[in-house]
Amino acid sequence: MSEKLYACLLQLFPPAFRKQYQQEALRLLRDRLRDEKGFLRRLRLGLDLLSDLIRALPQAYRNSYPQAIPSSPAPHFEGGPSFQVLKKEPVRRGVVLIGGLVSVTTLAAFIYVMQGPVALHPAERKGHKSPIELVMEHLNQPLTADPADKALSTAVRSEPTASRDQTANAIDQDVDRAKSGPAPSRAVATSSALAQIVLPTPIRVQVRSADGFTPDAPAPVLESVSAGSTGCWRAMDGDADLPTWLSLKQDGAKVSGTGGLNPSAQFPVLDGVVTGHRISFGLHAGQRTFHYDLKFQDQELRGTASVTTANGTRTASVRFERVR
Amino acid sequence: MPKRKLDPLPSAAFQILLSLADEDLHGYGIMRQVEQQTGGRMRLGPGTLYSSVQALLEEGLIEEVDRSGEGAGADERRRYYRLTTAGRKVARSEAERLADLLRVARAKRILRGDYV
Repeated sequence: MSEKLYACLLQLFPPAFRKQYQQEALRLLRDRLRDEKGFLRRLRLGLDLLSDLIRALPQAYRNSYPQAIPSSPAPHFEGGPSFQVLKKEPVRRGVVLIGGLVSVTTLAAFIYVMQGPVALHPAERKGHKSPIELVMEHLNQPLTADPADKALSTAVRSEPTASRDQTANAIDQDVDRAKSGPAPSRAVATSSALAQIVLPTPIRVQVRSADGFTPDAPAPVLESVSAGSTGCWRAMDGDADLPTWLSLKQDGAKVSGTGGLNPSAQFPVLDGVVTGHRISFGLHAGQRTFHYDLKFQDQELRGTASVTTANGTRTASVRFERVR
Repeated sequence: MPKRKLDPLPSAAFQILLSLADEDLHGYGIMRQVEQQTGGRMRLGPGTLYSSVQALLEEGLIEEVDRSGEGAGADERRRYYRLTTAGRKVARSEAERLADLLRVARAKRILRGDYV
């Protein structure tokens, strides 16, 4: 090992150690290089220095190196913090390199952790939203409720136990009143604003106050927001041959999900559509095709299911209760 | 009472104390003396040597000797170290501790009489 290389390795030692002993250490190395010649001896010297480096570094950092601390020329204010430079040394490149590496590693680890799905709220435990997505979702919500939004909130909150139809009708009327008032509603002027109202039940109602929202427009769209918590349904009565388990997820006016005779034998939902309070979709299970025409009522889905087989089509009444 | 940094005394520090028992030595001299007194089993590298020297200086077990006027040039001036009274005392107590261990090892027939 050359003297230059060892001088570089000595940079790993604390500055105070190098200040006091670097020249001595290099002199000792020169002495050994002078006395220990030949390939094997030089090899042994190199191994000695490497093992010495590993053993000595902790001890060198544990030692204290007394040195005179200059008095601070900066004025000291009573009650305020004061900062003093104890070691007048330029920042070394190694320190900058290590600091940069540690910072980048820490930042990368932070980003990796934040991108993963983390359950922050019981309602989101089965979701796959990262904390950043949750924060962005929260920030995108309107800060203040518009007159139309307030009307919706009032209508919903004043009737926590009313049926969904009654609530929807109240919403329609109050929105109409808000829209026809003397002061123009900002919500009406803002074409893309969305108002979210959280019902006392696990279901959310979203009313789009988009442009073109008139009394003649279709009724508010009913959405089951969280497929994992609110979209599972179980048949309460009806034909035993009909699917008894449904797992639905609504995205706007479209419905997707699965259905089947039990939770483990599920088939994909086909052509799912929401129109007002009605939901219609199909299921294709082997040689049988089911078509559902349901209405959301009193926390239940009620309606008819038609089964089409090779022998023909028959229709039965069905009633589904929300499981979760 | 705060715990001393050299308690227990590391092997390298003990060997340095022993090497300085007879005469004042500089760093390379200490290294050679330690190598000789251990039969070549211990060769102190610069890092271990000067880290131990610094710790021994802090504890007051050795002291630096000013030998600037003894013929060496200014660029080749070496630091010499000397064992202090406290250092000699610590070295003796450490040797006695090792001697006790030796007695125990002999009593338990772990060590035969070939040593010491």
